[in-house]
Amino acid sequence: MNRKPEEKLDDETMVLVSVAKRQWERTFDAISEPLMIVDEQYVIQRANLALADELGSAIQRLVGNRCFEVRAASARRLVGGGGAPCAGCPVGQAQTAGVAAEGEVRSVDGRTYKLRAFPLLDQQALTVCHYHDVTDERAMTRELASAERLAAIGRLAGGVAHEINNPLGGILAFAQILQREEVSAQERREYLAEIERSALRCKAIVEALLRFSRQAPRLDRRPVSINDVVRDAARSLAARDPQGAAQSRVELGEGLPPVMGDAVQLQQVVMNLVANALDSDAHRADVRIQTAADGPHVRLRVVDRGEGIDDEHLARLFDPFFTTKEEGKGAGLGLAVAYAIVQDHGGKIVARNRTGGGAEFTVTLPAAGGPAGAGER
Amino acid sequence: MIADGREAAAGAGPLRVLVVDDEDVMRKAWTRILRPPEFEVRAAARAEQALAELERGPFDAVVLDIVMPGMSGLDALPMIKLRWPGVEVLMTTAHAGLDAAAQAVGLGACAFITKPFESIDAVAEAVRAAARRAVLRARPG
Repeated sequence: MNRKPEEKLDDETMVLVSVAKRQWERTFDAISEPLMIVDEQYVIQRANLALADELGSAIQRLVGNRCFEVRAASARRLVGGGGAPCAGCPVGQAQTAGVAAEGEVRSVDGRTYKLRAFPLLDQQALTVCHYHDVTDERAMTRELASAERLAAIGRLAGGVAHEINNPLGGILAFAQILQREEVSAQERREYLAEIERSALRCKAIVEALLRFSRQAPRLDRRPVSINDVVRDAARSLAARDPQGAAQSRVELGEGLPPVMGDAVQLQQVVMNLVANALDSDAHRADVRIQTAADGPHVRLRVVDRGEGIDDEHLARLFDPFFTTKEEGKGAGLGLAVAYAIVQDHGGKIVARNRTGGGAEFTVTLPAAGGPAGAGER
Repeated sequence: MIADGREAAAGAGPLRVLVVDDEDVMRKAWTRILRPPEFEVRAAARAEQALAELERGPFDAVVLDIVMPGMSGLDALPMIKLRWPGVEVLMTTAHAGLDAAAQAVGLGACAFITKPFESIDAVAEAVRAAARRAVLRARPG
């Protein structure tokens, strides 16, 4: 006897669902990186082969357990345990916010995973979790950074050698002349004065170098208003260089978000850029310090109407000890210090010539999270 | 030892040397190391200024620093050798690299002196030898 058409449809639907389920399972397992679906209690609903392999377990033994407890039980690679989600786990955030979130979790054996959590936005509050092993990537980045650091140290050493060897050359030459030859009393005084001047210059260079080396570490990071930083810098400038301050105009943008940073160091950036701008312009006519919001960034710009920057100098502008100034008028560390500070803040600093003449230094810093205007008073 | 006037008297007048260095103390030191009457020294703080001095010339040798604001010594060197091929050029630098030395020699420099000098006698001798070579070429016999 024939079945009713509805029953037949149900059978067909069942077959289709089962095919779909198998397709999804196969797809899941074909992905070589660990994947799982957890509910709001972190209980694993589904897991792929890669995850089971990673944890040294079977898929069936994972499902039904909370992910962090499974990890604690098998204790093979991923870290969890302690009855709480892993440090850095983005699942909670993804579920609360209802949008994808990303975090970093570490395994017992020291591997680092980028964990992406995609909420499924259904009633069971399920979240898809995707693990991407970034350990080797990170190691490579660190190696690159250390290679860059070595190159920077090489440039620094070259700069120090040049700066110190010149006065040292004077000291050695005059010391030899004084020892070997008959010199008049006046010559003797003159040469000794040269030796002293040169030695003092060496001392100043070593001091500048020590200041530079002290710049980098230990950032006191908190939400900082760039406008406040600029105002403070302008006040310091007025105290130190009233004439320069009189030639500088401050143009502050409105509704700037705060940046995460060290106010004292950022102030140093402003001071160094302004000092550089004032020095570039023989008439010290018109230096402008501008701030503006720029999407998820805050922009600080220092503009001058000076001589501009030679193309050949643009690439070396931020190298320590690179200077185009006359001897004794600057050690070439101001822009290098500004560069190092901005880098430490995760920002960028770019120099370019303006079409109308003069140079423009733009610092872009990532805004701290939070509503625009929160950092403004 | 720094030569005295008797040696210079044997030739036809002093050896004329142009010292180019942006460092004031180095210009003073060179001027004192290369003394009259054996040497006649003029000094320039920039490569551009040195080219102008050479125009006014004549010189037997140029002591040319590499790292200077504006035109570098390595930029000036081929210009000098092209326009005044008889003038011997000795390069100096406070930040010596083998690359720069090789480049300088390739561009026609006859010596490469690193600062600081360990012996003023040795550098005086290098300048003396170079300048005399130029003199012999220009005024044979």
